[in-house]
Amino acid sequence: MEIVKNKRSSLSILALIVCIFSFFIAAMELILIGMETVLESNVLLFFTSPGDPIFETTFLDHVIKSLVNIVIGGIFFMGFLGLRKGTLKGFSFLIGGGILALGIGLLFVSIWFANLIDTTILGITNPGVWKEFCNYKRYTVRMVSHYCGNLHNHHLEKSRKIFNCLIFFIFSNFYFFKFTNFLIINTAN
Amino acid sequence: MDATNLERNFYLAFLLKELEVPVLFILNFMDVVKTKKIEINIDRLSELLDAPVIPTIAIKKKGITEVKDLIKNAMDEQTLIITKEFKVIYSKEIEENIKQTIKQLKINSPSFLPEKRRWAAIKILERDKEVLKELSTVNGGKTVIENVKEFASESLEFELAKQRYNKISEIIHKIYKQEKGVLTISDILDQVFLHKYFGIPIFLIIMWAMFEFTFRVSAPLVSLIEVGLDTLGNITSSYLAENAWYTSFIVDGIIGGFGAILGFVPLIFMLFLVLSFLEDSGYLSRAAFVMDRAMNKIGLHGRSFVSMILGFGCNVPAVMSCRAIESEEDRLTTILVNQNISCSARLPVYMLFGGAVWSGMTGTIIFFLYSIGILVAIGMALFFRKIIFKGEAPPFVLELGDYRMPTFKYTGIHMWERGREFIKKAGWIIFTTVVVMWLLLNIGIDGSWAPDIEHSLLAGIGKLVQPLFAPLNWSWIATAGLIFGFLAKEVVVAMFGLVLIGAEEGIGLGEAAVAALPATSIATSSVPILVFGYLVFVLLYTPCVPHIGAVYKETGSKKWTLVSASYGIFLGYLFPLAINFIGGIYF
Repeated sequence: MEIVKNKRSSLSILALIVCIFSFFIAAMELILIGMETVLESNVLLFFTSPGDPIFETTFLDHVIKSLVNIVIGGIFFMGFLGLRKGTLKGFSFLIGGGILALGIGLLFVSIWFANLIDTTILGITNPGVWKEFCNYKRYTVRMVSHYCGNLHNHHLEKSRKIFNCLIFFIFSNFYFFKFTNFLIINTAN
Repeated sequence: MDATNLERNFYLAFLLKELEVPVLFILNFMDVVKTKKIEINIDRLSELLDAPVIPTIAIKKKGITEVKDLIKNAMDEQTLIITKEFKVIYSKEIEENIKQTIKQLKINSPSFLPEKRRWAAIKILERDKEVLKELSTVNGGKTVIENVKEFASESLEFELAKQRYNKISEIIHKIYKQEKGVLTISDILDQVFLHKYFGIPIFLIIMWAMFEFTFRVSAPLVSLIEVGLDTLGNITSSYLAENAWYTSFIVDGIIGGFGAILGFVPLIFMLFLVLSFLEDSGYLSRAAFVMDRAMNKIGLHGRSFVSMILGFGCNVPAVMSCRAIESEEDRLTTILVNQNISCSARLPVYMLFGGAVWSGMTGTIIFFLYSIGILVAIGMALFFRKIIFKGEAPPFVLELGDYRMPTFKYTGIHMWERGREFIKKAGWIIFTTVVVMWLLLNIGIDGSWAPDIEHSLLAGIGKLVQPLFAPLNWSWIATAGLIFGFLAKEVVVAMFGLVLIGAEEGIGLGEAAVAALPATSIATSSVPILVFGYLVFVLLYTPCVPHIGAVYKETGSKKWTLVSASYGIFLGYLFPLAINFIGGIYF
């Protein structure tokens, strides 16, 4: 347990960072309920594979994902508090939360690959699947140009431009955080 | 024996030694022993037990060669691995009773287990039902039972157990040492996974992740089988004579109907893979422990949840597992509520409809259906325990082994063992049912061959019961599926596959099944409500005929079997009605 004592400070910061990430993702999931279009455009840019069912995310999906992140965030928060006090329980929460986040992270990775394989199989017999995917990609590019183009659009108010850019920035990074959540914990541990 | 829990495992060892059969003791999990900084003096233990003791790490195959060699040598040399020197010496009074019983056996029933008289005497004193039954059939056996009646009692069983444990403590004291304050990864994880507040949410997250994984990762394999079956159907029909009965049987019956179920085999295997992974990792027993807190509050034994978990695979072995529950009230309650736990046979039905209506979140919908099943089971348990079988739930004792990293090999073996049962069932019950359904589809109500589907005997059966489901607005295909679903729930999928094989041009079977579900046309926004209601019915109504048989066998009562079969149908009907009503307000 000496190692724990020595690393207590950095571990508690790590627990707090992951906790904030999880709560941030949880909040984003809830906000996203009303902002499906923005999500689609940016998620597609980064991590989608052909046929990724993220296109069809719905209310319940977001609520569940949000709750999952709240619980993970809660566990890491307990870990943070425990580590600050120097208790072993804090370390337990960090490990337990890490394993849970790792499992959820692996779930997303496996789903990502499964979607890619599924679309490939369907694409063999139905080329329309690929066409549909390409349409989504074109749509993505359009959406990205739309948000980036805002900066040069003199008809928009400055506050609106900032808001659009902020939204674009947040959602561009949103799934990146989610995707790397478990990696951060795993590497740090 | 589990080397990390010698006290409990030695009890079994003692019973085996008393049986006076050749015994070789294998101490497994020696790797965990090392991690926990436990020291076991193997040589001394061998001396004390008067039998060979071999330490092993089975998962890494360490020590297995020694075990094999020892068994081989013992068999080659025709030597017993044990001598009869080891004995548990009980208190003076009990030893006197044993002596008297042996004497009675020698005089009155000399032929009764002459080689194992001491063991037989102990069992007679404990009033062991099996031994007493056996003894009463031999010459002079009844006299022995009568003569030892005064000093034999069931309470003696507890006294003997107590004295055995005293002896175990003595041995453990001599051979076992553990460094104090050692904290293992299991202790660390249990602080989180068994946490008072986080335990249940974590369990729910794991359940959700399990269904997401099952559904989404099996999707490519399901697609592959669908593509394969479509191609096979096209090739077969092009080679066989058009409109011939055998073409219809092979293409519609086997490929369309039976194939529709086979398409979901990867889904079932994937579910069993995750369940085996959770079981092998040691989490599943934790889930029972976590749920025990909640279940104890409603008066249900924690072991009931262990049976419920088994129900995720199949409700029939889950009902059988209730034998282990000692309290009659708890046993009956668990048997009666287990049917609400969604078994793997319902999964193809959920996926068929769920995939078509909620394609992006089928896993989440399946999670909700499973959760509804658990909640209904808890609600019904509450009803039975508070109204019919009143009484307090006894404390729940469950051994929580250490967490272990499941190995690919053993998780695969466990998955295969469970999945094999599904294939066996599909190969016999489901195949026969599909053949019967195909025949009914090809025989007209007027006795003609290959009539229009609407005038087939199958449609006649479906339409006969359809009026009962008129408030739910389900078509005859849906109601006929439910009737045949009594034999096995997977048959519901086969019913749609069989009837809709020609109607699904350009769309998948799921979409065709959703379109064929309502009896009268409804608004598109109401379709998910109707489908969800149908899935809830499939979840809640009586699982299958083998389940009814198992309930009868385990309860031994026609009354409770009837209650089990009928309340499922009642709830199954009530829930979709409520869903349609509430959904109708909003959509």
